[in-house]
Amino acid sequence: MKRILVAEDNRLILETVAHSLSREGYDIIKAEDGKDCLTKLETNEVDLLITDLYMPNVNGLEVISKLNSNYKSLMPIMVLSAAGAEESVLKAFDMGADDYMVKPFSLIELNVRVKRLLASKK
Amino acid sequence: MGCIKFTPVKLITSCYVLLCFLCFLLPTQNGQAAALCTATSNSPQEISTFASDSIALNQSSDSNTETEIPATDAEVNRSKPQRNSVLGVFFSTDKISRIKKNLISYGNDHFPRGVRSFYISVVENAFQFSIIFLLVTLSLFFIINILLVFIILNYTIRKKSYKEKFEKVYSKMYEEVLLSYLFGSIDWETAFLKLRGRNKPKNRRILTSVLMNFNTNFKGEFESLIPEIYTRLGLQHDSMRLARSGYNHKKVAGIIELTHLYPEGAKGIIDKLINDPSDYVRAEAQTAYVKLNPETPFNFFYQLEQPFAMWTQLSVFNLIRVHQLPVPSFAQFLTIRHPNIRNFSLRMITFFQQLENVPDILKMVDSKLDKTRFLTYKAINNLRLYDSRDLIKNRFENETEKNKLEIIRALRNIGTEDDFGFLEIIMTNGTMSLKTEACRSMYFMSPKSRERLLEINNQSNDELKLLIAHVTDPRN
Repeated sequence: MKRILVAEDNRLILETVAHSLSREGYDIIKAEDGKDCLTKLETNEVDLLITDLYMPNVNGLEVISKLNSNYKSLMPIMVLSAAGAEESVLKAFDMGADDYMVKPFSLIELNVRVKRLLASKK
Repeated sequence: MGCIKFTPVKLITSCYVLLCFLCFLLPTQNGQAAALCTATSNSPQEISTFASDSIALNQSSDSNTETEIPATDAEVNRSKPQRNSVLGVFFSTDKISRIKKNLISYGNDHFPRGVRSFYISVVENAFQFSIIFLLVTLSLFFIINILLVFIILNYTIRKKSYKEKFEKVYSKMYEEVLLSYLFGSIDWETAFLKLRGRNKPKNRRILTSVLMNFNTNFKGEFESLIPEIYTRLGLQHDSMRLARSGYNHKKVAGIIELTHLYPEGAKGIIDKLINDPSDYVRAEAQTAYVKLNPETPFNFFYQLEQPFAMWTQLSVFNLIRVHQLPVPSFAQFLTIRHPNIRNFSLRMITFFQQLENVPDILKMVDSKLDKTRFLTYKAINNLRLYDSRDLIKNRFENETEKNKLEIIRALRNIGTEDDFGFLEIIMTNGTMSLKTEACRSMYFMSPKSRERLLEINNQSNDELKLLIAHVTDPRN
């Protein structure tokens, strides 16, 4: 079973995304901020990271940059953010994100993108 | 939690200690220290002994230090009934009566007659009481205030914390129930029963906030389901009540909720709020209008009596860009009497490159407002309206410095060989900023204009040479 770590400070989004992905058969780990996300990344084997950009303690971009510098991981990263401006999107991709979804988003689209990202890992 | 907890026992103990302290300090009416009265073991003889001792002590200390007071005065004071207190040990009655006399004489010398009698009566009354009594009253007042602040603070923090906890518990519960319903785990009847407390106003606010959270973060399959739940629970009535409230913040909340979750009901209310006297309400209603009327998003301009605020202009522009709303031809709004609508329309015409109705845009150079004319020159420049070169050149002489600069900038993009002479005159006679801008326009207009500029460079004076060097320097 593929394991996905979802890092999001809005509890409703976190629960909804987790609920939706677990129905698709994924094992979900939830993190409520960037710090929590980094801790869980250290202790768990994760196949995909879905992260928000603006989170307390450590923001999404910092998570991505630490992940790339410390773990040298090939794990795909998807960003979920309300910031739809071109600069934000480009910055996230530049830091190492593989996909970017702007809020409000569709859960069906999210599931499709997750499937594609996990398939590309293979 | 970080707040001070007052248990009833602590409160009573504090009050008791405070009372004891006050009783010790409070003087009795005839000048005896209250402390002596409250001390149950003391007899009246002991009290009078203590009082006379303290008076004697005062007087002896005064006679040592205050040598300037005549001995006769001291005797008179001694013969008068004394108004002593515990503080009498530190302040002599002589000094107090001297202060009183000084205050009265100051009043007599400095205050107008009408105020004088009142002032003297205040001083007389104030000195009726022992100074210790006044001090204690003030201290008591101060202590009571501090206590009150602590009590109110404690109450407020507890109430806030309770509210937060209440909201957290209920929003979590509602989120879980709604998620189960949205993902098809339970049917509506079960979900409805599980939404406990849904009829209470506080809970209804939480439910609305949860639904708003869903609505702003998710689209697709949830887009139709969330408003449906909102209307099934009758929450639109609460939002409508808010939108009709007398408080502006409630009105704004009501408008936002209705726009997101009950668009069909929102339209009627928003039409009335477009001209609301409050800037915040008006801005929110106008933004909501644009969102709710994608076919005619700016028709509210015709009914607008209040200014179209800059903040609303930005919000509306952002809304158009983010939601990719279809934009109308803004030239139609150039005839509206509100200058800020005309200015906004000129900006939109420029941004969306709306080249239809050019004559309407050019008419704006006759506007009485500098800002509108400035935006028109900008539009002429950005839309590359080549035929309007002569028009703007004719306006140049009577324009403001800022507008003159904009005309020169426009010529950089739409100018031809015919405009070289015009720019050369400015380079010779204009102000330094106009000269620089004219030089820059000339340099960037075309290869021919650049050649002409280099020719001038060879012929002209040092100042012009410096200007040309500045403009042609790639670092600038």
